[in-house]
Amino acid sequence: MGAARIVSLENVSKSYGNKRALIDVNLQIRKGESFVLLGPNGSGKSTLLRILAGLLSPDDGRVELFEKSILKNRKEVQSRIGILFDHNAQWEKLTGYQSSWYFARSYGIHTDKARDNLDRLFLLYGLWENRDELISTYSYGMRRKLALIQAMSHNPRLLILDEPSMGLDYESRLALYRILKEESRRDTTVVLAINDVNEAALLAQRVAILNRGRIIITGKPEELKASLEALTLIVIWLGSPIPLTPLYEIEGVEQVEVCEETEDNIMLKILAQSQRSILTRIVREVVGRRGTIKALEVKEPDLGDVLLKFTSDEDM
Amino acid sequence: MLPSRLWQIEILEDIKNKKALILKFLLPLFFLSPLMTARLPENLKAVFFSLAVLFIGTFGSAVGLVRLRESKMLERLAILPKSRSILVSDYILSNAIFDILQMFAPLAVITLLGGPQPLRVLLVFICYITAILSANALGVLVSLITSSSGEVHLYAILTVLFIGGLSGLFILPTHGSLTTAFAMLPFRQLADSLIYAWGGTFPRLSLLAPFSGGVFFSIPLLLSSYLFRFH
Repeated sequence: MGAARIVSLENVSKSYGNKRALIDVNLQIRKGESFVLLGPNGSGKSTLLRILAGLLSPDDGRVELFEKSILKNRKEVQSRIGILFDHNAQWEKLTGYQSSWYFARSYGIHTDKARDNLDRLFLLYGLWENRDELISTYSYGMRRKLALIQAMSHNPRLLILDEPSMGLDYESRLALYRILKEESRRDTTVVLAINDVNEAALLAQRVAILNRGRIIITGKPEELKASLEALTLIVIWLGSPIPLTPLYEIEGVEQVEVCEETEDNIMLKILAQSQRSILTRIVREVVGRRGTIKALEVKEPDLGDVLLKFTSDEDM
Repeated sequence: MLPSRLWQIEILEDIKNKKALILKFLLPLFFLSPLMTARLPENLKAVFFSLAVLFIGTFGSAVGLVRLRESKMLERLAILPKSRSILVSDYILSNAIFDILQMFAPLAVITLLGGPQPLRVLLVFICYITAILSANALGVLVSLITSSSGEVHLYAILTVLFIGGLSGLFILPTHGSLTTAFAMLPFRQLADSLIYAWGGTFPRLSLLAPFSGGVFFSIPLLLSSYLFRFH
């Protein structure tokens, strides 16, 4: 028998006026899974997380957390989830510890347990020394850590995190990754919305790619990369711009993307079928268009290329 | 102090904001000083004081709540496994406690200068607390219909004018049944209780102040789910 379903969405749709934010979203996330939502800005990630948090009601479809409807069992379901928003709203005139105490106690945690949990988390996130300072004196990164502490203060069984590492320094990021992996080992289900594909590859056991409110593909990171197995990624640095349309016309070229562009340095990412002659044809086309190739690299596609492929296909 | 309830947080925040705290206590003294010092007819003093209670309670509560919404603190509160009506009642109570304290000095001076009859002051005190709670409850209702901090002042002033008018604080209605209905409103009851404290006739309907306040207080609690509706 498989692990219990912690998150279940069936045909969930949500619109803001005429704008469709989510369209027929189906998703199952099992106990202990670390699940990442990837997608460009405006793809519907935050709307999906807000529906899971019980802040928004879907227009259509069914949402169940812990096999219960969040709309009908709001308090019971919310007591088992910890949420980190993409903002750091705090009571500025309170100390970090006072504010976190309120959150821990609001989840019904007994005072002794609340103290134990908070002391552990403040130490874990490196905020112990600052716990009695006013939040108004905290830096952005410290506020982010504080919000993470507050999301985890009641040992939630489901963590919903929107861009958790936003604003964190390198050391804190590593600490966060370690904590999230530890939580996953303790059978806590983690749902993350992330923009950084490298971070997603590091944290995700499964990934869903969203674009324009739809889930385009779901799978393990290696499965998604395997879906591009027949493709090669060619990265070309050019000294001057060239028209992109002729590159698209080369047989076997799937996608061309300008990734960086300064006056004399342009980086092109070309996703093309792994054919022997494709590189020659691309180079010939670039040179024929008077493009100066400064460097060229042939790589295996990574998760970022998967994201690019699936979201760009939708746009076309 | 480690807060476990929203009202404790609101009070802690207010206490730690020293500048705002001083202003909160000085402004009523400043604006109500004419009532305390000038020789005005008693009914005028009573009406002005009731209007001040209505104004301060409604504005403070509405502006504070819209600010909580705009800073996204309401979103953070909405994810807690707590009853939304408890959150709203905590908010009203914490604001009311401060309003009661900040208006207490002017009230004491105005009442004492009027030469009150000691036993009658008790009714003033009950009506005063009821009116402040009701004004703060009105502020929550104002924030329900307001979408931004730019709008909140407009809706708050319209509400103060409307409720002040209904309470007969601008012009007393001449029709008998209307007078009875208006006297059921907490702000009229406060004005009537003040006049009574200075030797006026006994305002029977002011005895119903706790009931009127209960009605005002329970309306935002019943509508609390709308406050936590996000788009």
